[in-house]
Amino acid sequence: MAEMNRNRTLKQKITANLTNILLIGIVIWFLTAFLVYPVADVIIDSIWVDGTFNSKAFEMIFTSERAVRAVQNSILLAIVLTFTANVVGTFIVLVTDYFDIKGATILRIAFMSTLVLGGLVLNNGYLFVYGETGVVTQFLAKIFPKIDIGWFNGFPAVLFVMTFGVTHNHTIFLRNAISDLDMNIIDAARNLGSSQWEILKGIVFPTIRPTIITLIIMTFATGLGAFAAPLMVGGKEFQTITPLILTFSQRPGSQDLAAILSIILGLSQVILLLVLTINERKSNFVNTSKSPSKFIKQKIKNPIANFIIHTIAYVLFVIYLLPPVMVILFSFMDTSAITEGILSLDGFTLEHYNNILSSASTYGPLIRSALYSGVAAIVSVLICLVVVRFMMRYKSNNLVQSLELPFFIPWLLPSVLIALGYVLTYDSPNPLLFGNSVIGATWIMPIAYSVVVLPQTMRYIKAAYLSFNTSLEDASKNLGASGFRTFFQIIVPILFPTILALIALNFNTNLAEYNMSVFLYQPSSTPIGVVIQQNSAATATVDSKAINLVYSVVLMIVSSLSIYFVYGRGSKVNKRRGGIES
Amino acid sequence: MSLFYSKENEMIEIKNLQVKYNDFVAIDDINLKVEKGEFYTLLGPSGCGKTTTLRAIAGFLTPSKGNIKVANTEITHTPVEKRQLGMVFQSYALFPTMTVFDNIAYGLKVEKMKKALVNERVQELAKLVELTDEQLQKNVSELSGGQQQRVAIARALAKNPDVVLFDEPLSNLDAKLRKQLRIELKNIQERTGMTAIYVTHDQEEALEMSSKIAVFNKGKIEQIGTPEEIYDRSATEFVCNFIGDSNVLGSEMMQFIAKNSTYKYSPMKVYYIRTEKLLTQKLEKDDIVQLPAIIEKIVFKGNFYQYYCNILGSQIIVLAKNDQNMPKKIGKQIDVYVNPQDILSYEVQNG
Repeated sequence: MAEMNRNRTLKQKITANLTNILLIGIVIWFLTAFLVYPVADVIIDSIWVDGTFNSKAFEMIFTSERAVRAVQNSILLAIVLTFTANVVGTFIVLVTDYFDIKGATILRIAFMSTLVLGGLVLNNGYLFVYGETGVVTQFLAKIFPKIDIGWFNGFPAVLFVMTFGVTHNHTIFLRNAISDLDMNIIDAARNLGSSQWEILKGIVFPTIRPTIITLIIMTFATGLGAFAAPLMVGGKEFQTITPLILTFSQRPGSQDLAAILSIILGLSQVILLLVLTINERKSNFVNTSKSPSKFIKQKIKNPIANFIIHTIAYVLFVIYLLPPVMVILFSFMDTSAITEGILSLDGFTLEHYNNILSSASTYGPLIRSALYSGVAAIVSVLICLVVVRFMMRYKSNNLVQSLELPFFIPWLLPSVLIALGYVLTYDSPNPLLFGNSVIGATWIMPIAYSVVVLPQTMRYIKAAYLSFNTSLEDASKNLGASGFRTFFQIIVPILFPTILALIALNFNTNLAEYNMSVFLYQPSSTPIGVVIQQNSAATATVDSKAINLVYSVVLMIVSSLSIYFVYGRGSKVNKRRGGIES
Repeated sequence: MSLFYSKENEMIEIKNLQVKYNDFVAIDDINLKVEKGEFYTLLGPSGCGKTTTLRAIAGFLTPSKGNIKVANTEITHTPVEKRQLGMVFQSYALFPTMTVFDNIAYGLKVEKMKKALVNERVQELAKLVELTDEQLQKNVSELSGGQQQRVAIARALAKNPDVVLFDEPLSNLDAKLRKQLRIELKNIQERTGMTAIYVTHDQEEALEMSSKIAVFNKGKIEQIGTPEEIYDRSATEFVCNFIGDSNVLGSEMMQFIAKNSTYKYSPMKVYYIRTEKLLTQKLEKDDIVQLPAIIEKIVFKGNFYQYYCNILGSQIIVLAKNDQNMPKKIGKQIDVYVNPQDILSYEVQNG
């Protein structure tokens, strides 16, 4: 009997080990084939030409006025954006979650609208409102005929779009920090005679400072790597690094320049990531309050301040909501109303929706992109789940621990470079792809999409795993369950809300993806991001504009639904699963 | 499957156990034997090594030295899931995505027990820990802290383990519930006859529930004994201080006692006496010493008073029932009586 048991245990061990080796093998192959090798290949090929250091390419970059200006513009944008976005972002969170402001719920919806208006769609919306043929510009041109209709262009336009485009991070992270404030601490400060302003300055800001610093670094990094805004509203005079990388990499003669610019950008992102990590480690302070009480919104006591804050909040409300509302309303207007920028009941039509949703050539890109980004969202989450599980299980195994590092490469290098790597490395059949090449292949799209979301997926899954009550895992093992059973029956169900949230987040990130798609798509299967970009040119026909409006509305609906599914329904699931920790 | 354990004399035996966290030695040279059916408590302050010992028994920590046997079977390096030891965690560690029923049934399902038998066993356990059918169908987050603890106990007992390990299971409950569950847990242990190893820092809990106590300090065991032995004959100064309330008797007071009795005083020792051993009424015994006490403070405690007195330069607490006719005036002198046999003495520790 004992012999039989021993044999069974040995057999189980071998099977478990083989499964582990197979899973790790698949992950290592995926990371090598779709991340490390193509990126390394394109970088090495750019830096070393015929066995010697390619100093010519570096010289060309530092002597090229266009490249130097792009670097300068990126730094300028990053610095100014850090200031504007954080002022606006902090303000909108204070008015919706710290101060007792009338209509806070409706204000919050408007301020969070950029969450569902990703890159291209957002810029398309702003262009539709403020661009040369935009609704507001046309309206103003009628009143002031001498106005420069190209006013929404260059640095101010990019700054304007990006300022409002990145503050959704504040509505997530800073809002959490505010709602975690302990009311007892604020009451204590009040009891000691502090004014409202003194409490905000002396108690609230120092408490939420770590979150604000994280947001500052995130904003700076976003500004530095800005792509959609400079591309679509920056015009010729305000180009930044990433769009330039795209331009360079589309010309075979300057692909080495694109790679080198990517390295420069990557190095600055590494530095920012290091600062971010150090900040996160340093700012781990603990509330010593034994029984924290729930934060209650503060009424603004000074009537003048109250009036000013309300006014600014509602001005911002209009700014935030105008592009999505106009996009939605005009998607129901006929072409002449769109051309003239006039909203009227006479112009109401469902024609655009009809045209798009009844023809495979127009709804095709939508379905395709949804499919690609859906598959990518699930694949990236699965890969990270496996790796994080191994990392937590084999904490002293350096090989397993080092598996995490390549996951952050897509944060450091522009995704354009990764796509360029695929095109250059796999332009002919390659053993790493089992004798396939990416030329003419559509399967590379979901893979590319899953690679770009690996860093955020890794970070969130790891964080969720670390906050997981490890005594649950101990309890399961103590009750005789194997590691496999513990993982699927205990860990995965608890991490499920995070997994769902990440699938939704990844899906939204890639839905209107452009940077990689423009390199990798097949003309017969264009994804939505590429179509929207093509349709948003100032020279585009009114029909193209109408198509973009409908696409934007559909993308907004899909994004809203996935966010609702996660944050609306998912948070209820989360609540039900909580409350059992102590 | 019976709820009751077999009559075999199973036990835990730990020899020379050492657990290290990198270079830090968390526990060292731990030796103990737990008899079948004992309620064995590992008692000590935070960081003394009691939980480390328990987790080593459970298999969550690998010892750097020594061995652990359960029912004469060596388990030092047996994987956690093969040890067949029940465990109740400090945080309860209930699976939040499962119902109460599924939590209790989890270990049985892992063993691939038939559904009907699982149902029967869960019902049996629910009855034992007083959970209703309705509560069995609830999600664990819908239960109160006390009910969650009952679920944790039922889950640990489900597989009829040789030994159940309790890691400070009552520390998250309020005082009243803690006292109630203490009694219930002891009843369950007696009814099932399980061998329990119980970790706590609460000396009252340890004295009330245990059949044997091991007092831990700085990773080592200071004393092992029954609650009475630990309390009345504390082997070390640490145990004496950690368990119960004691008075330190100063040299002048001790010299007075030695002069008026047969007790031998040594300046190389420290002397303690439990507060309840100092009497305010004279007992008719030969060696009783009468001491002059000046009242400095009186604290009302409900069914008794605490008199803070100065006795020959020592600050001493004396207890008096509230129906006793004792003076209530600060500065007044009263007589206090001591039986020198009740005095505990320890060699002065260097440093």
